[in-house]
Amino acid sequence: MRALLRTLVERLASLRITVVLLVLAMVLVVIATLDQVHLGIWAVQAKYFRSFVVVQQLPGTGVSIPFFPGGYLIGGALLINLLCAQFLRFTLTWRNLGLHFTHFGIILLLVGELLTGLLAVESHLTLDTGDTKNYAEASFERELAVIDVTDPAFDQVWAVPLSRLSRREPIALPGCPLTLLPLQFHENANFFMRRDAPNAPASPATLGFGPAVVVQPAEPTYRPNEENAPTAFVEFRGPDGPVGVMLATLAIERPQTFTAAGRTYAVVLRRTRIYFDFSLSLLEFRHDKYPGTEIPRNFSSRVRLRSAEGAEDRQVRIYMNNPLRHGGYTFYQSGFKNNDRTTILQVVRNPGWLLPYIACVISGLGLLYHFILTLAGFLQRRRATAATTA
Amino acid sequence: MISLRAPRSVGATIAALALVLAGCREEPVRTYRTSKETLPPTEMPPAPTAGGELPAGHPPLDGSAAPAPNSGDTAALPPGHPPIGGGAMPAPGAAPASAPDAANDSISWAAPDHWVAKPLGAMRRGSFTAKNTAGEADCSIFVFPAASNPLLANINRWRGQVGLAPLTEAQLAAETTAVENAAGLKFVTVELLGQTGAGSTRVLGAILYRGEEAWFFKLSGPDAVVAAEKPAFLDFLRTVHPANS
Repeated sequence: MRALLRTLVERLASLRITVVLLVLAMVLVVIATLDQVHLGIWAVQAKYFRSFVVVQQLPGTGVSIPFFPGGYLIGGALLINLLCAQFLRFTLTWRNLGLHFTHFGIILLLVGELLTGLLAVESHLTLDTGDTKNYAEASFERELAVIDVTDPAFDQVWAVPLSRLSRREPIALPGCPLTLLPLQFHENANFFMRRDAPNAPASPATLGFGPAVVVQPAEPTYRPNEENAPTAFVEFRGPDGPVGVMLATLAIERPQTFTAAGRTYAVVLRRTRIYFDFSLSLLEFRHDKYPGTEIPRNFSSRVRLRSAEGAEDRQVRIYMNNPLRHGGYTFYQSGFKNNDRTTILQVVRNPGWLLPYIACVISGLGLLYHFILTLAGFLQRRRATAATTA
Repeated sequence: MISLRAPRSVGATIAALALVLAGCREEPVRTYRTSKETLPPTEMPPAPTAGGELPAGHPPLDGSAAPAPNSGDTAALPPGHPPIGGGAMPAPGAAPASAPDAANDSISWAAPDHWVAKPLGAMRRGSFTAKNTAGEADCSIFVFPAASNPLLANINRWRGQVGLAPLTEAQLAAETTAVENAAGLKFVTVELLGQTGAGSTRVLGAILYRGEEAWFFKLSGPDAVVAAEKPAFLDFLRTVHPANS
């Protein structure tokens, strides 16, 4: 067993694997860079680097196949390779201490990127003056929220990620008598009022405003300043059979309601919500300018932070380079609109944000130590040579 | 010397891992309980069309909210809805446009004396009926996020409303005119003549990009009416100025 483990570690520590993985990484970077023309930077990042496998749809078919290892797989394999090599060749001497530090720094860097990719969430919180919210809206992720609004005290929410809607497979909602069956899904679409397009085919929708709207699928946009309008026709099925079909789209981000099995449900396709255990209220947004000019001097938001249990209630000023850090989230002043009445805060949660800094410091110290050691050896040898020559 | 031939087991391991991980990507349905929100309405207004049901604040879709035939546009859309046919959406973080609040708009204007102001409806920031001896035309003013409202898509949206074929980016410059008024506001104007169900229809449109906002001024109606109102429309554009100036 021990011999088997050693053989496995030796195999995994192979320099051949390192080279193969580095080549794969380089190829991945090239392919991803070329595909950036079609997908834009965010989609490329998700498809090629923040994935275990790059999945590609075969042209002209709906079939997707994994065709290349993704960034996580290559990075993860490199990490294992490096760890095995360290484990196999580890000897602690003053001479190789710097190299150990450097390698440890690289390992930490790889782990940090993995943690960032897996755990970091970027979202936005848009607040009008006087508004209070206890959630942010994800910058890139969308969800179909099915909300049981029957109870007067609270809402019960089932949030279905869009990736589930793109497959025509029934989706069960835990603890809910309803089942969803996605009939159609479009990454982007245009909309027309049916009265403007009287000859358009009948809508599959039978509930909500869907029957009055004509959906025209559109090519997804990848421009950084535009956003797709993901759209789906979803059939709801209750215990007694089909309830109806609803059109849900980010372009009309308004809840539509229906009643089934004695309960009332609201359905909306929206930006994925990230709830906090505290709330923020915008008390004042300031857009200061230099006197007599239109040149901005400062953007700031004065917010009131209240924890859910009431233990905390304080005012905070968020401005450029002075974010609010609370509950694992960082709130940056990101933008404003609506004639300076609305503030936009970028909300970032990244549990691994410190790791790259620590990794760079450790690697830097390791390299510095190794350099000094080598330099000292070199100078010693030179002095010895000079003494011998003299 | 290093051989670049990877051991067979390595390739097999990577392929197996790839297949396994590819099959493990199903995201779960999140379930949680929240306090009641004021937004989700539990009761909907009766639908104006067969089987239809509109969200709260959504104007009727049967055209009753549209002030004039072919004015089309977004008059019948809920707050936050981009112009229909545009396809683009506000960029992340961009909130939907709020209900009309002309008093707080960043620009102001003075309509010609013979134009009659109308109720704003759900989305309009300005709404007028232009009357002359030939009949009536509708003038609408909308504002949407500039980032999600590219010029070409909106010009083509207007063209589509009068049955004209869409333009390409290369054709755009030849089909539009840049107009700058005394307040330094730069409009891109377009004049379209086409056929709709109501007959020969003319559209005079002007788009003003100002910071994060895209302002849409549109006069549309029967050909003869709009053609006669063209000088008044151009005069109207000259009166548009920043609200605080």
